[in-house]
Amino acid sequence: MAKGIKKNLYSLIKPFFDINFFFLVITLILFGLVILTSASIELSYAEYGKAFHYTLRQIGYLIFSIFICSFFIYINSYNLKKYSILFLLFFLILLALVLVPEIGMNANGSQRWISYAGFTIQPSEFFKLFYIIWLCAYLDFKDNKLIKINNFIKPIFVFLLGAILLMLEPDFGSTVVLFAMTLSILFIAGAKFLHIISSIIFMSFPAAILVRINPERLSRFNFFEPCNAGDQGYQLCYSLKAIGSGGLWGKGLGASTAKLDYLPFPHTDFVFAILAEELGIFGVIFLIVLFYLFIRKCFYIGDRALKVGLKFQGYLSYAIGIFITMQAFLSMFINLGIAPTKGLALPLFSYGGSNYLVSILSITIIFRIYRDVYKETLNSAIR
Amino acid sequence: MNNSTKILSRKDFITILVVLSVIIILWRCFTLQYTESKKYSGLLENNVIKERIILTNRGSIVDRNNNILAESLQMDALIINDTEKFYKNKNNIIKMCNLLNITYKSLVKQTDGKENKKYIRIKRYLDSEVVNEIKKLNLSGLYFEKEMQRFYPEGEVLAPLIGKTNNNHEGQMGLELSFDELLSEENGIKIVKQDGNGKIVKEIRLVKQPKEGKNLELTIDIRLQYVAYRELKKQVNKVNAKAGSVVILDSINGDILAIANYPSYDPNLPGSYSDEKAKNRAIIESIEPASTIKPFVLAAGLHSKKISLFNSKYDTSAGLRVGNYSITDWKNLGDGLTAEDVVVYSSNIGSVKMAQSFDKKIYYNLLEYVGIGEKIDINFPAEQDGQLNHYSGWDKTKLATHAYGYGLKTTPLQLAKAYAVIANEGQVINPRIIKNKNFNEDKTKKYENSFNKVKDVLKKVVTKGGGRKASVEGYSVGGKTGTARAYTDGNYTKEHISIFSGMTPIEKTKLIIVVVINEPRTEQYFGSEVAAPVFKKIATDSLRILNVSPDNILDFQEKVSIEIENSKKYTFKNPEVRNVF
Repeated sequence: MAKGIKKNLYSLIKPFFDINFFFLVITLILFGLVILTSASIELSYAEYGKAFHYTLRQIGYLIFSIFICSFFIYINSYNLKKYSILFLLFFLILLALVLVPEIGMNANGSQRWISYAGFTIQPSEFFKLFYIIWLCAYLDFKDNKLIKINNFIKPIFVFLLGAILLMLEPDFGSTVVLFAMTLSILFIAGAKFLHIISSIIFMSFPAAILVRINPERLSRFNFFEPCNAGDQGYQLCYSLKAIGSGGLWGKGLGASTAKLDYLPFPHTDFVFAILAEELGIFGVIFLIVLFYLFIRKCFYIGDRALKVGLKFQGYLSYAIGIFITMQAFLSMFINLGIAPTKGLALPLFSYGGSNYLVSILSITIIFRIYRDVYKETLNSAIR
Repeated sequence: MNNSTKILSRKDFITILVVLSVIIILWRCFTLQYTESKKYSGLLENNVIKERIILTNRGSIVDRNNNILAESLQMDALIINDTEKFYKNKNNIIKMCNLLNITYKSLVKQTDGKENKKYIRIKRYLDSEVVNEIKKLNLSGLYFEKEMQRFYPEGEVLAPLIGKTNNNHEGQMGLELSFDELLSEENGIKIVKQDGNGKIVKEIRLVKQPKEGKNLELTIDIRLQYVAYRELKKQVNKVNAKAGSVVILDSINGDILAIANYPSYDPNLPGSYSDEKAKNRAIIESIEPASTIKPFVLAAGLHSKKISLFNSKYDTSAGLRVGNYSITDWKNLGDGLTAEDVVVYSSNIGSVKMAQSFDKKIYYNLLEYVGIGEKIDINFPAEQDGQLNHYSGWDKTKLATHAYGYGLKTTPLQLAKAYAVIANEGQVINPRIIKNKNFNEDKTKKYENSFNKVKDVLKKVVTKGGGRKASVEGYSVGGKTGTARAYTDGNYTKEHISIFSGMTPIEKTKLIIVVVINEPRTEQYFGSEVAAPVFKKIATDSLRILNVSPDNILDFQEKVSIEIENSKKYTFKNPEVRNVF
């Protein structure tokens, strides 16, 4: 009897609210909070004399994000598409304002933050998301005309504008993510292989020039023997020591030694290393499965949207899936020494308000698209 | 439809990329965590698991009343291990500099060019208050390292006796060296898990238990020591002497109550040290006792029965020639000097004549009995034996020189011991520096009658002879002055050594005090002028400190009555009032 009610409730909600996706997201958030607590506990104690400073702040960010998203969810995906250009301009201006000395805030040698009335935000995180939204909207408008080179080049120019602002901060990691996102979305939307490959070749020139100007970037590629690379390899060296010393089974939750003030940024850029050290390869597999399910779900929702002809929603689902998962995998690559060391957050795991809010916003958009797709399905069935 | 399948195939392409990434991540994780796991955990353990020394205290040195003379304290040294982290908060760093008493510039200079170093020691031996204040500033990139420091609260007052430790906290000189084994601590070892800042997170296991050093309890009475040092320093500076030493000996049990030496240094200040200042002359310098040996000539003579205190008369007016030497006195003391007078007025000629009148073996045996030329063995580094050659080698000249204190050598401490034998009327006590409750007292007395008489003679030296400046108000004092020619590098120089060796009170003697002033550079260099006044001051204060009851009340009363007489003269001129007294 009870089972019957439960099943009914499930099937009642399921059409406009993806319960499976909801539980996946909850799992990611809780797992993220547990790992963050373990990774930040020593640092928090050393810096603030209390163990849960970062955990409590992160929970605060989570609550704030849910609060913001409880309004954001009322913006349906059609309106989001309509006003995407306004969001893009707004965050493009913020991204430019970061570079104004009195407004922007500098930390660790990068000018990435704007601090106002006690709030500190990182516009580059928001810009990445709203650039993606705008790009999907743009591609929807230019439906099927992407084979024209003009339509291909326009978003590349917008990307270049953002990339220049990002490189002035400098934020090399975000620029790479942005470029990869641009190509991925264009690729999904049916751009020509030739265009994509030529734009990669085209972009490799400024990248080469940047490396020439600042050879330090090149030295960051010395990740095969990071422990012999002096200060440059220091972070990666401890990251590898952490992951390696964990073994297949891990040291157990909370038992990391690298977090004892050896590995820098254990709560942000190197949270994956702590996870791998404490939970071993099985923890890593669990994490990867979660992100894989996430992208699968996004692709599935994207497929459904495309099938009912909602191109913007379809592209955006794909894009958000790629966006979150790509950042996660890139962060793991960096931690494992496969990609050069660059500050990049592991979404929903790393400490940081802006990244957290952007991740939750992305997930909210997926939920909204799911609902809009359901409505569209009903509408098309009536029609 | 065609379009949608195209998109789906493109989706598959991205899925393939994702799967490829997953494979790369898992493959990399597997190599790190399985194939190379041992290598990386070893690398990490090298940083995390460390051997740490458990510091423990070296034993303290205390005086007879448990006042601390030397002790070890755990102090902190400020170490910077991450300059980049450290230099973040300039305001607080300047506050720290003020606490450390250094300038910001000098701090920057110390860390300059050492950006990669994990260990820059900024300042050592910080006390806990400063450390707590600095910790409150919440600076990062630094930590405090525990280390031991040896403190000498009495500083220069005792330095030549106590000595000091070296940088490794091991005895380097003085008693710190000779009792190093007793005082030495054994630091323990433990294996710990430490964080990147060197802070201990967890103690894994104890490898070696630390063992504290044992305390050393001296017979020194710091109050007397202080008096002795103060008066010695005053006099050495006043007479512009090269150096000086004072020994205060408890004649009842042989406890060394004070050994003062000047010049001295402060072992707490590394810069004040010099070899010359570290010399404990009272123990390691042998001097010729000069006239202070005469009481023993008299004692030997009395023992031989060849000499009687008042019936033996000596003519000193004509001078004396022994071999190629002519022996003189400090002034012509005339004819008819009794044996007692020879000592009281310190006649070299009389003393030689006395010594010639009895068997030299008796004199030698007596000197040997009182310990001249025999190492006392108080366990002090480089302690001197003194020198006493066997009488079989004494020719006429040597016998003569031995009779007025040349040709034999004694340390000031040995001289004090010898005088204690007189004070104890023939009982030998062994001076000791370590307080020891189980003391085996040998009560046998030799030469008792002779020393008894000599003791009275010594009293007269102070009341009417050369030792008048050593007299102490209210107490009876006995002693003998001496003025030796200084001897350097095998030759006698123009300089002198002024000596006074005395005892007080005469009956039931408590204190033996020997004062030696090396090379005073004033016109007055006689022991009676230079050393005796020091004895007086030290004895006066020491007797008061030790609460020894005055034994010379009569003398005291006489003085008081004279004062009353004087006051009568000046104040009470009315005869009626006078009668009231």
